[in-house]
Amino acid sequence: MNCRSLETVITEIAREQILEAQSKAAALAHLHECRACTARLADERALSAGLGTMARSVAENVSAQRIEGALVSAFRQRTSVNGIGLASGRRTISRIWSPWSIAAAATILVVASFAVIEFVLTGPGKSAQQLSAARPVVIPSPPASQGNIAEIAREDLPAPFVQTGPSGGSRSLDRGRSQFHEAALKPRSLPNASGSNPAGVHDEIATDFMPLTDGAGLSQLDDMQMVRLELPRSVLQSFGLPMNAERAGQRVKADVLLGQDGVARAIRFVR
Amino acid sequence: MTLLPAFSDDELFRLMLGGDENAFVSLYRRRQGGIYRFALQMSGSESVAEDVTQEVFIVLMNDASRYDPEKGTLSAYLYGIARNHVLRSLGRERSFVSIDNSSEDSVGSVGEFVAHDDPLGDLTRNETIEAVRQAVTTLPTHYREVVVLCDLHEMSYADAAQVLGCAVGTVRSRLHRARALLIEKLRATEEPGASSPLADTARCFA
Repeated sequence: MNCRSLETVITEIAREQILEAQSKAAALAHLHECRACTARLADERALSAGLGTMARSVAENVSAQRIEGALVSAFRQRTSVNGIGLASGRRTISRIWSPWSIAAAATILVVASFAVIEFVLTGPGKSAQQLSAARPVVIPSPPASQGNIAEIAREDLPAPFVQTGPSGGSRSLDRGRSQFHEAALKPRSLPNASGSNPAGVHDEIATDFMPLTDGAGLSQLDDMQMVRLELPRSVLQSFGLPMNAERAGQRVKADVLLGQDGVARAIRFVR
Repeated sequence: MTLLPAFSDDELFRLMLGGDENAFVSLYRRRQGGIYRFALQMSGSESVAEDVTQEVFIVLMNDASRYDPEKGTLSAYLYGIARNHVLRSLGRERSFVSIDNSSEDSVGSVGEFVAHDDPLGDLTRNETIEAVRQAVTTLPTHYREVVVLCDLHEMSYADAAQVLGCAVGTVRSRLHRARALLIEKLRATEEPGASSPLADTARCFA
């Protein structure tokens, strides 16, 4: 062993750590021959002694009892809230926020957001009336071949929401709402499960999707869900769409795209 | 209050999860001292050490499910939380902590730690402690924490690696480098500007 290789084990020797017998014997043999390394080991041992003295000297936590009191109070508060113990907190939350609960909360959020839009555009009296009239409608379960609702939403998405590569002429998802109005006025037929559109009771005509946010998050289509609602017909005016005044009291169907956070991202109207 | 000294940390932890206050208090009394000393030795501040000690057990209480016994010991987990809080605290207060290791105030005391002639001289225990404490406190954080864990808390390399979230080899090499720095610091304050090896000229009686 030479000085350089001794350096790799000198800390362990000084700290009296367990070493391989062969390494230790070689190190000790070198230390007998090399005065510099002997002195180096003396420094390391002196440092260990100094650190040991420091370790034994550290004062106790004089506030330990006060902290304990505060922690015990917090512990009692927490266990009394959970009823059972600390571990129950997270399970309780997961039980409460089942998928159905999240869907219901999202629906309420959407209706509330429309009420706010109405309030801003038409005034408080009318908005309150329309809010009471708004009622979420659950869509009947689609046939098994249609897949889940997220897939339907993806299939039905109009071009403004589809990202394409640079070669395909990309279109910004952040276009302003006004740019969507023109497209929104052009009705389009919704395909049925097979992709065709035969005449039948399920035939519907819909506008294009119109963004409800600034466009951020619209690219995450995989995470979106579509919910159908019935809304006061006057909501059409909020989006710059024509409305028959004689049918103002009736409701209009709308499909709303919801992000994973429950925030409505886009809406289209269906007839 | 009935303490449960016979129970292991993990047993106390499980009882604590079930809402057993005695288990929580037993765990606190068993581990608070080490956590407090670690935070004090890392930060050099009693108030920071007290805050960190309290925060560690609040985190344990609020995020109990984060601890996985298969990944390491509860003790190492608590030290890990303490370390994060200390580093955050050091980051906040960096501008208020002196890192001037050439402070004139420390020259005299370090001089007592490493003596040249008289074996005992006027060396006192408190001065030795202060000299080493100064040197440790002025180490870079990533070196300081291995010295505190391995040398002051006598933690194994493996446990220290778990606390620090790094490899055992990293702990070993950092400790080696940290101790070399400490020796340099102590000698530099003894002989400002000196570059010769400590061992050639000095004897240490600490």
